[in-house]
Amino acid sequence: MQALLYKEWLKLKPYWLLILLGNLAFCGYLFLDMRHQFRIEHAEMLYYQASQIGRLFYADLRYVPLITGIALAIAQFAPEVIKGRLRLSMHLPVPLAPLVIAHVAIGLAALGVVLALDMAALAITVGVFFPGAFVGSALETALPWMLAGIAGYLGGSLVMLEPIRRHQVSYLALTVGIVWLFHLSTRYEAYDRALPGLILLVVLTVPAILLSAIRFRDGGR
Amino acid sequence: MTKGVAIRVENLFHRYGPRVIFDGLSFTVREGGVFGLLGKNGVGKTTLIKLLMGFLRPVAGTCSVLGEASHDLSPDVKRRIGLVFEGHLAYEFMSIGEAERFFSAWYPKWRRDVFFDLVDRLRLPLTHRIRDMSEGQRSQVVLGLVMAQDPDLLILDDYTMGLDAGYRRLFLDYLVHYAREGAKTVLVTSHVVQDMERLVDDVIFLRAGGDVFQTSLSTFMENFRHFRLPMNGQGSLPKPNGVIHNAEREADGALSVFAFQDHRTVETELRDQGIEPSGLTQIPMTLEDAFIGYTGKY
Repeated sequence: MQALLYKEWLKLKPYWLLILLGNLAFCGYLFLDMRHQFRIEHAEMLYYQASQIGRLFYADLRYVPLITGIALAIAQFAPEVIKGRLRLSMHLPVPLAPLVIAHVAIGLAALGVVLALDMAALAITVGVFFPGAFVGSALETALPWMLAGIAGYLGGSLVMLEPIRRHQVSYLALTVGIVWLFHLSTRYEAYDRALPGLILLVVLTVPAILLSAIRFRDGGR
Repeated sequence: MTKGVAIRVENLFHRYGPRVIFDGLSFTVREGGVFGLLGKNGVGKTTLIKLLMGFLRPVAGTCSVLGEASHDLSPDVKRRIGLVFEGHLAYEFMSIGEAERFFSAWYPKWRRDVFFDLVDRLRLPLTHRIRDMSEGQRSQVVLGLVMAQDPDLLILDDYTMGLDAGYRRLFLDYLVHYAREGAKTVLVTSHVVQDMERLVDDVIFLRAGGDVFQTSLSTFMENFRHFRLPMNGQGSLPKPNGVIHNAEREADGALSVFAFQDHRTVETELRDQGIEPSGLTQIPMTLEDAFIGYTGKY
């Protein structure tokens, strides 16, 4: 499995670094934008807008994890499925299920690092300009967006590995639906009670990836 | 010593939707030989190779490789099988050195010397990316990786694709030497039938509908004959039967007759079918001629 990690690192390194740089740049923008708002308005006014009106000062972050997840899925699985190169991996002397799960785990780990950076940047940015109580709230508000990123990664992987067109379309629709659920509300902490169920929904896409890989191995029948 | 069986196909049935590709296909590949799978486009060669490589599940029947169902091989058996995919599939994001390091981790019998013996001839640095290689260079790296596994069975799907004559010869020479020296079992398909003459011990002809004919190359080339009857002004072709395997009208109007029978028998058969056989002569054939004669031009 160490060898698989080596392969995935070789494949993902340039794209992952690019994605990381993109997210870092976005985090910088988030910080500078927040600072700009605090320069042109009184802090009390902004605290009021955040706590009473429910204005989100970091709403631009909403779709960044999703784009990150999809980009990572493409970077990881496009080179495998183009010309059926996945057959090279599938012929490695390792059973199919651990092979697929290892690939997904490596992808999720790479995504997790980037998303953790986004969350850390959000916490720092909010922490610098708002009172401490806002930090926890910001992280809770952004958590569904991060999960949408994970859903985007898993859904993107699922769609790319699936060899049968009609299943591919169904999985695409399913992924869009799950991601849509995570973006239904932009209110603070709107997903507090719904998160466990939504997390389960995302986790269930992992066995689906395994089924797609089995269909790929069996010739897409 | 009795040789074991490397590949066993029994009563294989496969179809794509309503289109039946194989119906009762059976053949075996014994250990230690080099086998060429030959057939015209569309007879199911690619399907059969995919089934043998484990990337297609047969609808019915048995398709076993080194004693296990080809679509459900254990890691131990996978370790003993080397696959060369059509188009010399490789991880193009890897360099030569990285590919060697990656694959060597999976195979305990890894032959580093074999890999570098082949790859050093490319005179490329180990940091050279596979995606920046020509088709010929990539084919050498892929062959090196597969041979370094030291597998007992090699399955090569149209290794000639995209290779010029020089690289084809290099690939072939290495493969022949490696297979003979290590008593490996090799199953190979190629569009360049003439190469098979230098490589294979046995040929497996696949014809439409899954009809299969397996024989040693030497027996086939000895017994299958090509007769030519100069332009005789007769429009009709002799009908294939127990004597005549196939007959074709050549561009110059001459008649080509292919048969597993001798001159006299063919002559008699032609006469029986109302064709005057005067001037019928046997002419020498390459494997490619024999392949076309056996499977037909169209």
